[in-house]
Amino acid sequence: MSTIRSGLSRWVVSVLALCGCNLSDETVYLHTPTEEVHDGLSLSKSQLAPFRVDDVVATVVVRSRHSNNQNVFFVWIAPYATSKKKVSVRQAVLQSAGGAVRHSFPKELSAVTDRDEGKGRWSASLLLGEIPEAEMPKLVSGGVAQLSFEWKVGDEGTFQPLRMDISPKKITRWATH
Amino acid sequence: MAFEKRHPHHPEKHSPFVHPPVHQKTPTPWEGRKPEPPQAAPIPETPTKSEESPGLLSSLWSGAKNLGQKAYHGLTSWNFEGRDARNGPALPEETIKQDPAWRQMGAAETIYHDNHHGTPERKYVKENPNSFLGLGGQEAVFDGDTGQTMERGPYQATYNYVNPAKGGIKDLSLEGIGRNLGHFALDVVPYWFGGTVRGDEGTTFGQRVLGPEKYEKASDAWQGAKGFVSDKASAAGKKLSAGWDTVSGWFGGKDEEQQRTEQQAE
Repeated sequence: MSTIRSGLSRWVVSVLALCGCNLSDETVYLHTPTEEVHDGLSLSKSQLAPFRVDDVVATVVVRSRHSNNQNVFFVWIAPYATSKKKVSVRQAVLQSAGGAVRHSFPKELSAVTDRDEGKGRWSASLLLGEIPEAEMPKLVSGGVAQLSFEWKVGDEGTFQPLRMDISPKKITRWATH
Repeated sequence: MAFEKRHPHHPEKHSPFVHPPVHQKTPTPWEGRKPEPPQAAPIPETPTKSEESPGLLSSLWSGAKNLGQKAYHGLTSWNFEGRDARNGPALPEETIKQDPAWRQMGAAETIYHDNHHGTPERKYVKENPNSFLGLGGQEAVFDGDTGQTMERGPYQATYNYVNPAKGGIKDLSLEGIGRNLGHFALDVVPYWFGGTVRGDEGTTFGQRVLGPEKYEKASDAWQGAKGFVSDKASAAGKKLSAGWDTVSGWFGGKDEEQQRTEQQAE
């Protein structure tokens, strides 16, 4: 029994050592209050109230992408709803806390929440634009980057302002397959 | 992870490992023993007993072998054909880039799909809400040099039965630990033992565990260590030999002239 245990522990230590050989750090950018919506958090949770209009919850997605031979960050507004609804966004601005670094996305965008996310949830994605990889650390240099925009639900709704704080989070990645 | 030590792109050579040709490849531990190729035998003048009717034991053995092969194929199909079917058809990178549901993975998470030639490959993962408990997810891998989907082979995209935790290895939430352990057990370990594609992997267990870059570095270090030990051993041997000659001289060892005389006398 002790032989099996010592063999097993040796194997576990070897595996951990091998995993340790293949680690890398990466910074991701998140809007913490709505981040769990992507993982299935109920849209009726009270913490989402500031980001909800007409039963639609606005979330932001910042993802690393490879574009024109360089790494950039794409910035999306991703509305989530329990039915198919039209969402419009305009006058989006992403800026650092002090306003020293600023990226404007003035174009008005519209989309219908028609992507099935399972569990009776539907989503859409509105691509605001891309930020060069080197710009993101400058945008969050004060701790957070502020994304402000106006949005409305449906054709008859009125545009309402919304501000979301995007913060960096360092993550240690491992050799996955 | 540093990528400075990469080989220039060789279109005709897709792996940094020394791939034996497919027909000569070493079977992986999951592939079982393959039947020996038929050998030309002299034609006997009279039919032997086994040609007239195979023996009972021979038939039983052959049947058992077939059954074993079928059972092995069935037991491992989830790891090969099952992953391919669940991952679905490969999408172009332009489509994936426009979809925020796809996450581009970091350097460490891409090593098992990196052919170690030219620009690093790019790997994307997407959650599959319709998978078992919503844990699984599709993968997409693109050649860093051409931007094309990685061709079928050791570096192709493989469906994850459990996607790793978004928070990385230090995600200590219950879901994070479960996802990392599940991904390790159901997606990483089967790859270490069985490879990515049934029958044409051509890589060893060590190569799969360490990844191309780390494996090459480890091989270089091993060769260097072997050379160092060999040099030291050789030097020590020479010193010992010289020391022995000196000692044998002190105790009246035979000098060269004396040895020559003795040889002539013989």
